Amino acid sequence: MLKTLVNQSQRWDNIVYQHATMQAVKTALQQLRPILVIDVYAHLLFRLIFAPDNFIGRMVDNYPPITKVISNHMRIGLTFLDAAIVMIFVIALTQHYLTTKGITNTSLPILTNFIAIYLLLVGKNQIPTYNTTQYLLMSVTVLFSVTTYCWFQKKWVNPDTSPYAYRYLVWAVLIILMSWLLRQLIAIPHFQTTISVLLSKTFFTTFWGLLAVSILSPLLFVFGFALPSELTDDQTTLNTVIANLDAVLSTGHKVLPYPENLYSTYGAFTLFGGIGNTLAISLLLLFATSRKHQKLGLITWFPSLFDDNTLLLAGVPLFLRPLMLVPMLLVSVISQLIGYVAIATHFIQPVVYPTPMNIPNLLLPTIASTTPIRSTLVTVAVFILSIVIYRPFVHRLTEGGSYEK
Amino acid sequence: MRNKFILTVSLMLIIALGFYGQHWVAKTTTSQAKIQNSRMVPTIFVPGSEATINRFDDLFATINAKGAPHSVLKVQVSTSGQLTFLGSINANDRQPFIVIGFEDNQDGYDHIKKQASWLAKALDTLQDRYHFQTFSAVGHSNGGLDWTIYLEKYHADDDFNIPILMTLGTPFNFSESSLQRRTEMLNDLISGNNQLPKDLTMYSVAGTEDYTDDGIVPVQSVIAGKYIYQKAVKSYTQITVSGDNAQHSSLPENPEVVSLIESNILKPLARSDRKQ
Repeated sequence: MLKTLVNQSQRWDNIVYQHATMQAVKTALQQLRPILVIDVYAHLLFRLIFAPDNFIGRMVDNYPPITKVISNHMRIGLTFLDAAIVMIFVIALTQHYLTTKGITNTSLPILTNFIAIYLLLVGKNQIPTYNTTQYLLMSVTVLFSVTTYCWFQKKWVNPDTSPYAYRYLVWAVLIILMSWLLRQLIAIPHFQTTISVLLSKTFFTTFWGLLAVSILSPLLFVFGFALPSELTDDQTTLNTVIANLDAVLSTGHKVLPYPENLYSTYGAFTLFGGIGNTLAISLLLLFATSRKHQKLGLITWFPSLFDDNTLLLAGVPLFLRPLMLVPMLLVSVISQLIGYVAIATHFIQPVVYPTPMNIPNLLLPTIASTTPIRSTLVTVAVFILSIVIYRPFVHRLTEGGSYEK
Repeated sequence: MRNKFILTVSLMLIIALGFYGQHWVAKTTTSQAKIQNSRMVPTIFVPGSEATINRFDDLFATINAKGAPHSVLKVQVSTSGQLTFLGSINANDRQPFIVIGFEDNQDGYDHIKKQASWLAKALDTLQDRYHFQTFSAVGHSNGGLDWTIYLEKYHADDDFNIPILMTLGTPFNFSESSLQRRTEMLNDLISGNNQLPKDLTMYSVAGTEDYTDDGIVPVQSVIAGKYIYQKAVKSYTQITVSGDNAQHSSLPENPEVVSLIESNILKPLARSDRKQ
């Protein structure tokens, strides 16, 4: 059964990733990796050591105060690094796609896409905040742009025309205008806010509501949508979670208004290392047979431990990858189901308390519930099960073989 | 071998973080539970510039003479942010009076901004010591400016619930007697008024000796508070008192002001306490 699923996933994977377009995306993501490693580790160090509310500072007494000036400069530096990643991805994707189409002079399309993506992602007087989940938006925009460029060149321009001729410039202006208009239409922050508001509804404390989240969240992540923090790392601001905390603090009631909610099931059992318990993927990569994948496991391990799976998304890659989406969905649904059943049968008390910022999610059930030992047992069971589910898929990915008959 | 090392280090790190996390959650939860369950609703007074923490002694004596006495705690904040406590709060006193004064109690916008930041620190320390979440605020003269800046810049609804603020002769436009000439401070306070708590009931009390000022602060400067608070908070009420004790420095002892504090702060809070 599992073998059939692995085979089927790989078939879909081959269909998607054998396409020239996706090959270009994959190459662009690979070229992105070195600067992405720097970026992810810089962000990790900032969160743990240099941010005004840094993790180590909260743990250690007499920690040297990191002045506002230093941390503000670092924050600006990190934002520029984020912007650089977005732009390198755009340049690499444009370059690779056009080269495979036999177009050698790629300077105008690169410049055009650079400006187009800048206008698409940058708000008024702002520099873009890098978000891994914007790959879909960037890829679609860039691929639309380069496809039209190829078509335009084939239909409307002589081979001898200068790469900066009026006709090409008209194309460039149209693409930039389209991107600017798209920015007005899609309004990324509005999409995130809408999801946040929606998640506050009590429907998401019911079995079907939680099941919907456990399915939709990995799908949106792998398909490259910008997700709100309630789905990636922090559910404690949801009204239902606050209601539980209020009940515990004011009356000490063991009967909570919403025992099964996004924090106690989804947040506590499906985000080890990021959406879909991807810490398990990093662990399996550490023990892969190929050195390339071992190295990937090594560089992704510590960020994953602190719930940042950005490197896996671009490094494996997980982006639009059926071979990894299938186990991720299975892990997400089954892990949440285990958490739900454990709470519903009163085997564990749900997580209620907020935890220190940036503490690994793996510890959440243990430290934020009133049944630490039982919650730890459930955590260990969920993590082992995640490894078992991911194992054949990661094995197929790292071995690189064709699907078994 | 390498993987063994990485996993061992990671496991040790997770265990250490687990112990720290457990300790943090236990400490935070205990403190939050005390705050959440606290039934103490103090009234916190901030004196104006040049005044000391003894500024409200006569007011307290007048109120305490009428019924069950309120315990009084005075807090002096030094320029380095150190707090000195004088007096104490009785264990069974639900409505104590707390005065927060500043070593640097000079007039001027820059000094007032510093005082507001010290006020925020003092409130956090008081909450840690006495575990209250709800309090009412009274500010005399520039003390009202301290409260306004605090509410706009430092206040968070999650930390404190402030249902009532009463300012006594507070010069929201400093010594300007014309509402047409707005000082830098008034402009700043107006532009920041979207941060004021939406459920705040605000009373601005002005004194008049001769229909134009209370001897020091122009009435128009007190009235300028409407540009900051009106429509930004739940309700804004402008009250003018007159008579022998309507002079600026005497406002806290003015019988009408004493009566306003009793009827608009102490009684409503006592009623809400009984409802809990």
